[in-house]
Amino acid sequence: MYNTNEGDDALIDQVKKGDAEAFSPLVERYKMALYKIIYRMVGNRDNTEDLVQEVFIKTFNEIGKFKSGMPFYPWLSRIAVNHTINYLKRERQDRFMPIEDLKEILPSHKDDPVQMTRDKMLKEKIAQAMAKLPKDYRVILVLRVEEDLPYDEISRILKIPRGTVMSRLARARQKLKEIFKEIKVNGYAL
Amino acid sequence: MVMRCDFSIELLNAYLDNELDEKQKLFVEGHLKDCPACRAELEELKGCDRLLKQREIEEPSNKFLLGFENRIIAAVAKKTRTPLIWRISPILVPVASAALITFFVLVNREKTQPIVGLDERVPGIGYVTERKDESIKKAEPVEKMRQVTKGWDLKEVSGKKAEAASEERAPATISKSATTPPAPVGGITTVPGAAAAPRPISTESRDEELLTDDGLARSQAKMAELNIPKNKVVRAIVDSTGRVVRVVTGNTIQPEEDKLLEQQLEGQQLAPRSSTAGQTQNLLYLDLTQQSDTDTSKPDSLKTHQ
Repeated sequence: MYNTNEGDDALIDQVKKGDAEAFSPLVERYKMALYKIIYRMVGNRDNTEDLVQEVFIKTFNEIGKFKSGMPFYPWLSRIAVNHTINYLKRERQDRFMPIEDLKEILPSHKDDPVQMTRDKMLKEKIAQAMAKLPKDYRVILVLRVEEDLPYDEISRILKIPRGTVMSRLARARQKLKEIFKEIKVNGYAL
Repeated sequence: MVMRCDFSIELLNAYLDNELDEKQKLFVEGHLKDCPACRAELEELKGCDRLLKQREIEEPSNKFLLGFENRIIAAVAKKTRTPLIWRISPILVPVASAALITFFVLVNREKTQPIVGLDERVPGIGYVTERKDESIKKAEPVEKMRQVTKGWDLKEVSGKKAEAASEERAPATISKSATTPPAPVGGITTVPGAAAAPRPISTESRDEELLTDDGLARSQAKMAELNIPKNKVVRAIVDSTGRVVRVVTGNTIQPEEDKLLEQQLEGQQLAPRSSTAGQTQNLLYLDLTQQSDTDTSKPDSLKTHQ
């Protein structure tokens, strides 16, 4: 068994030498972080768990490309984001959900006023608004707002110019704001 | 609701994300002081981000929380495991190689050419190899000779010269009595299956002469008159009628042609006939090397190589 406190570099070196068991602490260390970032883009638990597994397997297979001495998580998260983007392209999950359908699936205060608190309702509406966003907008908002990545890093991950990052992010926020208004989410305006 | 001005929304977003340099930042802040619409827009953008960060994430399943690492390791170990074929390769490779070699040996067994010794190499001729062709026995004499000469490996036998010689010689060599050749005079090695080389002079009368013991005796007597140096390796190739077609000398692995000696011996019958024209597939090898005086008990020319 490996010491879970062992550094990323030491574990990665062991994996590179052919010791697959040394990959286990790395999975344990980063699986939740990957789960969050992928979940925010996918919005589905089962698919997210499957994608996390695929990302770790892909990372293991490409571990030889990792440059020792560099921080591991940014490299790992880049693989995760790219893998998820490819998944979204395949699954065509960037389709717009009609606003009327969205209203139907939103839980209503009248339906369950006791169990649903106001905050809970708000969070679910936010999740639904994100689900309604086109894939490109959703991904860039996750990377910038939720993952707090700088524009240059987003540019590298998405392989788009920095200027495109700026314009796409601006359009994504505008679109999200419109959706919030449509589904009557008022929390965004002070 | 305040209408926004046409100020760049990208700059406003970049200002919110703190992605502007100092000069751009001052420019945006200067505008925000004078534009309440853009200030309101900026606040809405901040509110959107704030809401987004509150987004709920569904808790992962217990399956994900427990034992997930083991499943990953099992999956990657399965992929990296050496395939069975490679694990048993230390045994499989030698066995397969041996089987393959045996197979090719068995398949090519009948095609294998006989081993030809160094002494059977002649310059300009190369190795004399066996050639089996049952149809030759049934063909007419001239046609037979054509067939015989057609497939020879002997470079100098091809061409009109060989054909003419074959046509010339063939009728005269038909003799059932000669099908069983007498014992070789000496130093004769039969190269199985090889065909006779052409000769420049060939007449019917001469062929008839060669069939007699007198003709053979005269030629051998002439050979004895030649001043062949002692211990000099001299070898002659005679055709099936016993005539000399090529003479080589030297002790090297690749002997040299001796044109002078060849001219002197050319056409001479130094060995008895080995077969009829229809069966002239044997090339005779004659060793004419004269031993030194210390070994005069038996001339080398009388030695049999078989």
